[in-house]
Amino acid sequence: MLENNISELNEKIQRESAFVDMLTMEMHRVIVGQKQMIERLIIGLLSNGHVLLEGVPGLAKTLAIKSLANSIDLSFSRIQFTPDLLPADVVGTMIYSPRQEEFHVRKGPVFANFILADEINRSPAKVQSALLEAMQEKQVTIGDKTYPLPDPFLVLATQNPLEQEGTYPLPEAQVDRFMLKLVITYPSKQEEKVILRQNINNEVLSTRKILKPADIQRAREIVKEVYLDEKIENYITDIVFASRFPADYNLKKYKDLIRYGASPRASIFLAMAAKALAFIKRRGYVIPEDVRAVAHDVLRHRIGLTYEAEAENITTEDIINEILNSVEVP
Amino acid sequence: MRMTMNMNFRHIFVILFTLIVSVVFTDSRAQKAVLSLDSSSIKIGERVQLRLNVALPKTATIYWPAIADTLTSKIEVANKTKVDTNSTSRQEFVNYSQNLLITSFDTGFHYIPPFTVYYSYSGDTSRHLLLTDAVYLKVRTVEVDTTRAIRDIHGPIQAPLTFSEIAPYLGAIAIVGLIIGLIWYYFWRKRMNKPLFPMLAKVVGPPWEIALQNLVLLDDKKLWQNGKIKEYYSELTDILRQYLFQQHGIEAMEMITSEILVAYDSAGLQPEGRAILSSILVQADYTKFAKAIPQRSENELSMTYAKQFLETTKPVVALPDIKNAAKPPIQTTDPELKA
Repeated sequence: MLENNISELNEKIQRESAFVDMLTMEMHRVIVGQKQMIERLIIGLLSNGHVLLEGVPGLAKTLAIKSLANSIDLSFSRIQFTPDLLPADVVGTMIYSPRQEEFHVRKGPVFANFILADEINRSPAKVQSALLEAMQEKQVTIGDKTYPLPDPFLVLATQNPLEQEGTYPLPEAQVDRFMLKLVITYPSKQEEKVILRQNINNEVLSTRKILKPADIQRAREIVKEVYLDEKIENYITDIVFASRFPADYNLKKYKDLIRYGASPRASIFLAMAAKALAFIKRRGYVIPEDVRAVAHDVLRHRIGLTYEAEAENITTEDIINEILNSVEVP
Repeated sequence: MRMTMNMNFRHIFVILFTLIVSVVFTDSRAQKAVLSLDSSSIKIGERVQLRLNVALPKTATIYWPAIADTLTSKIEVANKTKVDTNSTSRQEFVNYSQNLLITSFDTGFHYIPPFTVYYSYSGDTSRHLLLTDAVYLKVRTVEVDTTRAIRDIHGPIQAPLTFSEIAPYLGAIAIVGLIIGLIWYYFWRKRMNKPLFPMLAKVVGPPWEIALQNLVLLDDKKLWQNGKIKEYYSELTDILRQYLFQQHGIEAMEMITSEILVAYDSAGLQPEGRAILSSILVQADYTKFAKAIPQRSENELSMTYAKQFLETTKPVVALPDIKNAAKPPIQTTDPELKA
């Protein structure tokens, strides 16, 4: 017998999370496969966290983000990051009007509910940093005035891991602001066949607007209510601390391979993402399975490796796997 | 005239002899007392060494002057050493010395009066005395540079700490550190779910037997009866997870429920145990993470299931087949029957 408030929450979630299936189905009309990517994008949407997608070209990263934005009745901006992009091109600038003899604010494309920052690592750090205030504070300062950004505000960025020349890796401070970093993999053989058929037949598919902003707001409020037990909190902090002090968790061999561990944002985002996943799974409480499921996406961009690790071909994925296999599950 | 000259020579000879004898005698007994200053000029309040040295024959007994806290009304004794003795270049003499650390808080020329040292020889009841010279000490005031701004009075200067002064604090810090260390060790062992004294922890039997004992102990604790349902299910699942690791090599302590069940399947254990394990773990997850309050019967059933799970999955000892072993080999020549 569940405690009354959890039972009520479970029932509420059963009712309110119905749109998740609709949204997933709508997106799958356009995108073949990539189930996990779609689920994680919805997690970002539900927990108000920005998402960075990394993958080789042609894996429907941009299409997925566009489809998600199209499914919801909200404003959408796409910013193609290029080497000559300027911060003012992102946030906006002051324009002088000779007729009125005064400056006018011209808001940039960042003033939208969904921002697709395409190929974000193609612009220099100053342009990437222009997104910092927007991502963290949900506001933009132009001249001496600060303008709040619309709510919900979500930055969904893509980057290509292959090309090194002409790219600017995201600074640690900025990459830490992304709640999730998704690594997109190739589709399966079966999925590839479906993609092939769709494209040969020139089927131009796009998602329909099936959700209202109020649906998202309501869902977000319920996600916040999802019960997170103290045992799960301890589990989350143990995972994050193991990335900082591996020797304390029987991971002494990784002590010299980790340059820096996950920040406190990792703990916050792990909890938020786990709550959102519990909501998607129609549960009013978080279980360790939820934490483990999102751990890679939350931690992979928050753990810095040393040169020794790179020399030994050890990746952050290996470190996270070891951490999850060493930290005791409650 | 000749008589007069003889008389004069005799007088001169006597006087010279007396002088030579007295000089030789005096030299062999060259007692002396010397008072000296390290510096004859000091700043007000500064300290200076005043040395009193007395050289006497070894056979003499010395009566050292008693030195009070002040030498004069303007000279104070800040510190004094014990009277020290050391040998001199002359074998039969010994040198007595004492160092006084003196200071003065009055400017001007101060007179330090001579010191009187008494001594006597063995078998001689009379006392002899030795007088040192007087010395002068100039005490200067601090020159004030009137061209510079007035500054605050300098605070007291901290004297360097000695080991004996800080030893009690060091001891206290060491004791506090030891206590903190012991507390940390206690909680660390508790968090790792390991015995406090690993060397003393004794293994009482195979893992399934230990798990069974732990289940009995858990039952005795009456946790759920006292409202500690979460603790009850945490301990119950921990016992089973540890058993799975120790008995079957499944690292269940670091696995989530679904992973434990997958690992159980992969380990090729009894299929009937899977359903029991799944039911216990799912029930425990509800209680631990979803504030579920199981009914009394469910709590009891979980314990029964746990014991049943151990019974189902414990290794079976293969007993020798006595029936077949006792059967004698077939003694026949018929190849068909033999086969």
